[in-house]
Amino acid sequence: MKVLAIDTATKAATVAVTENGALVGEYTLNLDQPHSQKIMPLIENLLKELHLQVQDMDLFACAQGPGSFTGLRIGIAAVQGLARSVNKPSAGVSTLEAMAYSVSRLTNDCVCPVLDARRSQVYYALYKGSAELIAPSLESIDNVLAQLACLGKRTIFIGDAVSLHQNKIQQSLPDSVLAPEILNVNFAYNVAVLAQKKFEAKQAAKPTPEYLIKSYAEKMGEQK
Amino acid sequence: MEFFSESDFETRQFGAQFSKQLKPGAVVCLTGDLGAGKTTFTKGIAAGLGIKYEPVSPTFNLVNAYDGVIPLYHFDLYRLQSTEDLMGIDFDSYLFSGGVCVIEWPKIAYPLLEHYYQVQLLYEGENRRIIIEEVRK
Repeated sequence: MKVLAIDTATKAATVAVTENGALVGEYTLNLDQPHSQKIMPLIENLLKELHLQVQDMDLFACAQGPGSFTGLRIGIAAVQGLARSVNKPSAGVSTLEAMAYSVSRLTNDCVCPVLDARRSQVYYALYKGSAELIAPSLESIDNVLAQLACLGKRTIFIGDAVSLHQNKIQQSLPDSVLAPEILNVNFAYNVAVLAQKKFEAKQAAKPTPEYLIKSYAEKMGEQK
Repeated sequence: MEFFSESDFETRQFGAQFSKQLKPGAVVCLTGDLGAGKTTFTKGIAAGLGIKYEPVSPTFNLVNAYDGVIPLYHFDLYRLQSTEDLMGIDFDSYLFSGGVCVIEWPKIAYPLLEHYYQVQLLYEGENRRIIIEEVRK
């Protein structure tokens, strides 16, 4: 089974092609350029490099949130467009679950993917192996650390918010592990593998955005 | 800061003058009745920032983006109902972009702002009193 997956939830624009779960090719750019400009040429160039065409893919997948609203829309639109054009299925996966996926298979420790949501807030979740202990949520970094301190389990932090909040994390949870930079960039390979797993378990659904927008607005003291 | 304007031309001039103190990331909230000169004042800001194009009312587009040394994002939030709607157009991306955000009908934006200039354009007969205050929460 061939999967084409993309992740445009963060600054990184990343596309991967897998075959039977193994990586065939991946391009990742980590520049401050709009995804609207980057992602389609990246997909096109990768396929060309691999001597593959859109119609060779069996499944199209993307990170569907949380993350940058505009980035997510671009990714979801791209995947839905590609899938429809060749009448193949598409699948959306949680950005956070994809980020945690490979690491959570290596360890019995908890894995906490954290994405910068600005204003000292993060999008986060908590996984232990394949179990989800905390569903994707939006919280201030201080509240997240207080919550995890209560849980009292050693936690591995991964994601673009790690370097931003590393001092706080180390002070609040001294036995936590901060993932090295290599693991804090979103790579589409994770999305591809997770999407295929869900698809084969008949748990996949078409990508729909999971912005966590309502909680964001409420936290900011929504005006109407 | 206060200005007294007797014409569109003067409103525009005051906008340009005011724009000189705007740094990347600045936010300007414009309040005033229809016709008070919010968009006119914004044209002045754009000119002062060296933007090549003259802004037009963003009532339908919600936001117009103008390239420049410091980009200008001109919002009209009249058509949106809530802060959640505003999040939905990825407002934070503009806010944290390092450009200048000028916002007409800013009510639903206030919960997301910490530091901004409040510009009130008030009718005084045929003329306008323009009152500018810097707000830090």
